[in-house]
Amino acid sequence: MGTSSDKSRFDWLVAWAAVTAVGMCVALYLVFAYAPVEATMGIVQKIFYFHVPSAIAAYVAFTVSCVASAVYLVRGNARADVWARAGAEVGVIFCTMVLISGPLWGRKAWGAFWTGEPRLMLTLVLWLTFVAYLVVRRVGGPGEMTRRICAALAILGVVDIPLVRYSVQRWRGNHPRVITKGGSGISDEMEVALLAAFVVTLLLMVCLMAVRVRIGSAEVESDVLHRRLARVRRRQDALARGSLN
Amino acid sequence: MNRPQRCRLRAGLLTLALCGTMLAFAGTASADVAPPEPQLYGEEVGTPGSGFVPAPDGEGENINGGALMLAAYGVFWVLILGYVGTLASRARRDSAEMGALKRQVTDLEDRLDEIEKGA
Repeated sequence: MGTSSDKSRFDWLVAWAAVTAVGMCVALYLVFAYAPVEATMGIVQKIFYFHVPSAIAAYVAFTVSCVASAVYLVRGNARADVWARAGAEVGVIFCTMVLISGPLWGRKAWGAFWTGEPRLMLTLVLWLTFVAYLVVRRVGGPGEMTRRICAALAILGVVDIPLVRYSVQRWRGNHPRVITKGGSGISDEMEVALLAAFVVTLLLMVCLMAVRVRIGSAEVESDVLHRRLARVRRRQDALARGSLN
Repeated sequence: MNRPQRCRLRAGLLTLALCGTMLAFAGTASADVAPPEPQLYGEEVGTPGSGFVPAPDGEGENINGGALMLAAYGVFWVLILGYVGTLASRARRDSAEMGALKRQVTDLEDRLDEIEKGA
């Protein structure tokens, strides 16, 4: 921290955050002023514009965590572990949004906050898997065993994503299928707003992950410094013993 | 991994296993109950053949969609801003800790080098 490379990375992050902030304002304008109110559900359908992109952002973040975990297990690379933890943390944030905004929308659309629908249950399982990852990381400390257990957990958790994605097609469920291979079942204005929301949510996800990776890298550097300090202390003790003898 | 860390890891894993078991039971229980049918919009309640009974004096459940939407967007912003705040405080704390550590290590190394030279 404080080196020239850190400074240039910081500037890159600030620029990225500024673009995300401007994009967020544009997306909110498109969602609330440009896209029309849906005929049957009314204003509550506006949740859709951030509910779906948040789900995609969570899947991307969890996939990054899974790939980085696999790299960590194979190569034992500390940087890969930092990416894995960042992906899990940011993914949990976006998945939490999905699990809160979905039931609020469902209350109006289905008349119930929660049902035993396959997609809902599988999304909850996905969220719990990565919450478990973060809990184990927190209580287990910085040891090698904890990192390996968590890497395995991240790889296992990502297996749930295709199940969440295809659960609506394979099993009976109430979840609407708005975007399919044959195109979307929404108006052009709604499609533009949804696209803007997608782009800005992914920008936000990348921005949060980059900041988290930077913090994680600083933590790794701090560990190295702690070890160096311990070595210096041992040297100091050895010198003190030598002078006494 | 030292003993307190092992104990904490064991306690964490045990808590997770307990939560998982409870959720599995909840899932099994909810699987027996059929999910509610999707609400139909634009259809008169109590039309012939629908099997619905109108609420007395026209009173029915009125779900405020605007409030639900505001709650969803509110949660979105609280989560994002809360997480950004947490990241900012972590970054500040790490930066301060790193600065202090670097100073401490450099000071100690310099002092030890001087002692060794003197000896």
